[in-house]
Amino acid sequence: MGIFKADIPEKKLAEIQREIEQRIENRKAKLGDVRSAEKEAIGDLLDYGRAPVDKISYELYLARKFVKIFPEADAAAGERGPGLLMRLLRKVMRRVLRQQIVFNQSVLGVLEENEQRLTRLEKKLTEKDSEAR
Amino acid sequence: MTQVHQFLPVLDRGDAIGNHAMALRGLFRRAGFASDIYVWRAGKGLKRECLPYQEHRAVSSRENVAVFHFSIGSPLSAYVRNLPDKKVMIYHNITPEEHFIGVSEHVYYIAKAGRKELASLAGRLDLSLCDSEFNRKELLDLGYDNVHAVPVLIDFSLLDVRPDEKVQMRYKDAWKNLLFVGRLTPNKKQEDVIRVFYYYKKFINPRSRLFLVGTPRQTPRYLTILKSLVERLGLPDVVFRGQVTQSELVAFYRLADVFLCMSEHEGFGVPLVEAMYLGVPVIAFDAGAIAETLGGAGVLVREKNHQAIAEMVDLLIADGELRSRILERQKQRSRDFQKIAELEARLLSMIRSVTN
Repeated sequence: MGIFKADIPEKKLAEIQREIEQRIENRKAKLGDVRSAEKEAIGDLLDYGRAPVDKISYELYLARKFVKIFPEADAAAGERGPGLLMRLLRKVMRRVLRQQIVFNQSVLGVLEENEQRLTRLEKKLTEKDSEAR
Repeated sequence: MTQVHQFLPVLDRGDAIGNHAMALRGLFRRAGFASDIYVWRAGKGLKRECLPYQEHRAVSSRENVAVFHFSIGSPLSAYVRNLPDKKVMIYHNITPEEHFIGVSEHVYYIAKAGRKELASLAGRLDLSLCDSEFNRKELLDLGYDNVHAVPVLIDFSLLDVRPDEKVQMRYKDAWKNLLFVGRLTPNKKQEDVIRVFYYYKKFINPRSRLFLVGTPRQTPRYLTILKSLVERLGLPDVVFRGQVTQSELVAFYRLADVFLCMSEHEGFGVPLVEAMYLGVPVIAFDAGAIAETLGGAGVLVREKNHQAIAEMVDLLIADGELRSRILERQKQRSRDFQKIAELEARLLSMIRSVTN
């Protein structure tokens, strides 16, 4: 089955598919395997989709991106970093603090929802008051 | 007076969703509704066309309607979900986040968050509208009800503008031009358009060029990848035009001999309709809602055999009978999207059903 679909008579479409296959064969016979040459030129450039990705939430991603806790030592400037124990401790602290940020953001979201509910209730009460009068 | 306001994460120039929202705003206002567009972010030069969504609080009311254009995660989802207003969602589809791996971490996580937000809106809306049956099925699978497919409202008068003279002067020659219009993002697979063009230019017709019209703003790294691809293939005459004005866009369509779409995810595909309307034969990879939008017109491709597609490009240019037949069918199909009065009446009746 050919790879193309179009609203033209089936016979014509089959003819076109055959002609295309023939052209590709002729090119191969004349020039060799042009596809391999193309793939070699491209290399792994189009393999970007295989990059590793952290399976984390958007909130945690933002927390990691925007919150720098215990910034790393600048080796280029000759700064010495902390020892192994301190580095481990800092790693744990970073995780705990980032989770705290995510938690705080969720709480803020809930508080905002409550505020909107209160505003709606307030409006209802005001309307009822006016009706009663 | 009932107010019908729209919400968009971003209002951007040349963006199909933004154009759709502005066309709808005109429709709502003509129908007698007060109507504005509220956004999270406004694109360059568009601040006068919209308002920050936080200002909507002042006009929010149970009697009003909030029309939410959903295509990506944003703070608007939570805001709209909690409104007392009647809620209508127009779902334009969220690109699956996997497409952004290795290209944009930020967009990957926004798309992922968007999926979660979309699921959280199920059962909280009065009406959901989709651009296509493809999008509609996605919502039904998430447990949405009262979901209807209504094609995008396209303002065809924007395609009737005079083509930009500078663009025409620069490229009007005997060369053959391939065209793709769409943001430079990995799901649209401009890399495959380039690979097809590689075969066409190198082995079939060296007097040819490829126009890639669309902004890389959201995923600049993808533009870098595409330019590296062009360099590695030693491929001249690939023109990256970024964001263009309406008259420049029309000029590119008028210069094009073939519109080539290798996208792997589209919720509708407005440029396909634009190409059909402007008489450019379309070759498109069968993915997402593309077959649905083409509706049997154009040439659909089932497999990305770049050499074969390049040959088809050549046949569509050289075979007058084939080209005429494809163009005639495309012209018929584009008329389905030009039934503006019908589409507008249908949309208004749906909005009114919610206000009543």
